[in-house]
Amino acid sequence: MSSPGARWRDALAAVALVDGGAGGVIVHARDGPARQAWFRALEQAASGVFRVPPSADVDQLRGGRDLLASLTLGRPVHHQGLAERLARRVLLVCGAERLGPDLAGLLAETFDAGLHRFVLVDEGEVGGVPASLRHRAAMEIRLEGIACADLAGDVPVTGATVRNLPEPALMAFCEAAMRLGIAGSRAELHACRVARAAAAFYSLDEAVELTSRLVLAPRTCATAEPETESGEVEHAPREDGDHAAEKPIGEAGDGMKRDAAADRVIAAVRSALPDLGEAREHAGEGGTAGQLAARRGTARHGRPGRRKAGLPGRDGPLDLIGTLLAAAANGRCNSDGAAVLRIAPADIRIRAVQPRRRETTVFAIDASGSSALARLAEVKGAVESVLARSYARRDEIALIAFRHASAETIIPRTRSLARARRELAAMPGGGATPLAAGLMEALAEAKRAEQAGNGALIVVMTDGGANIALDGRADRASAREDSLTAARVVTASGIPAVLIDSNPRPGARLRELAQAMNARTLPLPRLQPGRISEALAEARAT
Amino acid sequence: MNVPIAEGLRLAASRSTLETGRQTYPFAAIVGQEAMKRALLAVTIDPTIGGVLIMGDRGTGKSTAIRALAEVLPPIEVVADCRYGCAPLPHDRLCQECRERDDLRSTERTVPMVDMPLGVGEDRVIGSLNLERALRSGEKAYEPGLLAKANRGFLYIDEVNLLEDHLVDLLLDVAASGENLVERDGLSVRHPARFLLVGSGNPEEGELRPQFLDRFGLAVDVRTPRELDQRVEIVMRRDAYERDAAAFIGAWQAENAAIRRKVVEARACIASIATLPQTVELAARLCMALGTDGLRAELVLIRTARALAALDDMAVIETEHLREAARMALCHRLRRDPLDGGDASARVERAIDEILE
Repeated sequence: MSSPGARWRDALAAVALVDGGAGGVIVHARDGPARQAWFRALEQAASGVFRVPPSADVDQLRGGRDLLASLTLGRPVHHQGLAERLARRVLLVCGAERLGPDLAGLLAETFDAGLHRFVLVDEGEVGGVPASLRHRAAMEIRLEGIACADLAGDVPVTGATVRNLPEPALMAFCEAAMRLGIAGSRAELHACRVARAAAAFYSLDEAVELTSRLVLAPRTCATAEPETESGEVEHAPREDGDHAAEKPIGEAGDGMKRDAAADRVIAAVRSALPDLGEAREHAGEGGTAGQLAARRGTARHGRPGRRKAGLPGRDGPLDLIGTLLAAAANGRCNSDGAAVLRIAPADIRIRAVQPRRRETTVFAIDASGSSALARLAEVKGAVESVLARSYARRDEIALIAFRHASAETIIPRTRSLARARRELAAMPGGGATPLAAGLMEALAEAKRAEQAGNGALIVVMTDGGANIALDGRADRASAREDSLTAARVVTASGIPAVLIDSNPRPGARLRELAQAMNARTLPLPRLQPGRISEALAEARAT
Repeated sequence: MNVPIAEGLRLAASRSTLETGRQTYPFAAIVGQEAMKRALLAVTIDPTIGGVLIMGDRGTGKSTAIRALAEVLPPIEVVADCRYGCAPLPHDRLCQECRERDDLRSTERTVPMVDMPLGVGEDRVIGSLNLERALRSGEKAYEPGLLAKANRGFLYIDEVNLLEDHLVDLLLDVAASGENLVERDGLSVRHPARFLLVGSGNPEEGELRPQFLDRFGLAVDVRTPRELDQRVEIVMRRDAYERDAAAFIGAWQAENAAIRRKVVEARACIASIATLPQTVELAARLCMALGTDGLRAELVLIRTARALAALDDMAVIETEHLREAARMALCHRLRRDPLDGGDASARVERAIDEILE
């Protein structure tokens, strides 16, 4: 709802605030004129910018013994840690969603230790900035949709710093944060610091509103827990960030005093919300660090492979420390008896990391009337037992139910078992069997899982009595044809599948389908929970 | 660890003259979160209870509390210059290096609180070959890692539910044996590594493996405060601390010292606290009703109740201590059915109401 021009003015204010040490900023922007203009403003305002690429080597930045220098000079030499090297400059990381867990961890430590002058740029790739860093950044701004014509104005100049934020303002932030359902206390703390700094160049009221837009609004989308009538806070599932934005922002219950100041803060937050709403869908909740790297297979984390001998370049990148350790462990000496390091070819080591691929199991369950309610209970039981095993390996599951005229994703990919159980328990049954639709939906979910770097497996539980075609017609013949076609598409995708036959007397009905899908069939009635997991494991392995 | 009261108080008093380089937020100044604070103090009074798992939203003061804890505890006596912080007594617990030395002087230091950051490499955790010395003079020297530094203290893992599997395996091994065994790069080193594991994280982001969950004696939930007054108080105190840390710490020093004294006294008197047979029976019935696995749950329950009683300066374990302990010690041991996620605490409450009247 706020115009691009207003957002740009806020962005410029953010420059002044970062430079003044009020807090870090997350900038959502791809490369373009707006971002370039913002960087220029930042460089001019700040006493310098220190860029750190997301793929930087953590050991270099951590500080500590400088091995090479120490050896050369013959005395211990330390290289500076990140905070020292920054001096008075602003830290800038472009493409912060590509940060691996080690560098993200180091940055989090540095921020906790008191570094407030940092900018993390989110270029919009999968995963988003790691949640641990987003939490520590005070402000968030978006530079999307700002045209060149809007790029007017200057960075506000800081006047005299305000010593204390008046208590009513502090209370307004706390109350607003509570009513907006923002978890934790960091939001208010960031808000106080930012508002205090902003009051140096805006009036107090404007500073409070600016702070609401920059600090509170981004957190509202992500964590809003809408209040029900009785004032109880209902826990909205994390994955549905956009749901939270739709529901009305919590109205105060009878017992709470409504503070006019808090109302103003909330109004300011609301004015900024629609801008952030859509982008939230794309950016997600800020994934775990390293998600993107895992997807691309360039992860540097995971169980470290044994330091293998190999040829650097051919087998993998050189592991310098590993090589030196191997050579040192052999303790070779030269002819004088003095200890000298000789690196033999056998000592060369390469980095070989095997990131553990998570597995996603996509369940497609026939919840139609032909499956009968009793069957459904068994089916649910079987699913629960598989879930119980997959949680230990931190695998994901997804659940699609098909009945009536279509297939519905009941549980999108998740690791949260508690959630899975809730949805499973509430899953209704009865109606016709749109098998083809179920298969296609399952395939789509499985492909999404693969894109995210997981291994996928589709498990279909049905009695095979398809009677709804893909286009929704109640025609048994086309339904059968459509389901066979869908099955062939699944085979073509290369994703392994398992078919669980929920017929009371398992038989030939599903044979066709199983063949088309290239799937192993398991009969449900005599199926023990353990057997299912085994079968799934086998199917995955092939 | 039984330290005579007089000695303990002497150490506590000398605390104020020790130079503290870091200005940590005072434990006494933490607003609310009573369950978490009690759990942390309980395990410092009786370390055999195990570690503490603190789950909750970000920004609810978890890491603040843990860092504050190390500062509020009485300092420990260590052998001077020992890399693992060995205690001067008893003799058979000394590390290899200390045993080989003739002159062992002792000195005091704060309880170690070591952070295990997310994404840390294995080398940093277990230690490695001191590369510089190896390259310079060819000697194989062991460079201690985080486990060595944490000996006799705490190892704090933030986002513990995201900890990588191979590190979890490592910690499980070390926690079970109390020693860190390093056999790699031509090294063969064994050193004591006894510490309390403290983990914090957001449960929505993933589950812990059952074997790992078991390593934690107590598990508490922290929630964002629901009352406005509490939220405001948190912000005001934190703000005051950030503006003038020294003054803030000074203002809370008396209360912090009081907590320290209570810990010292509790440690001294815990051995003499009476455990009535009916208490043991109630604990057993509680565990049976909840279907906890094995005997470990009961042991932890009673030990925790005893530690809480000691903290409250009682001579005998009361039912209220058992109630409080049950909430901390049992919720994460019900995990028969991993899908039971949210129901665990409700089940425990019901059992407490039924059995502990």
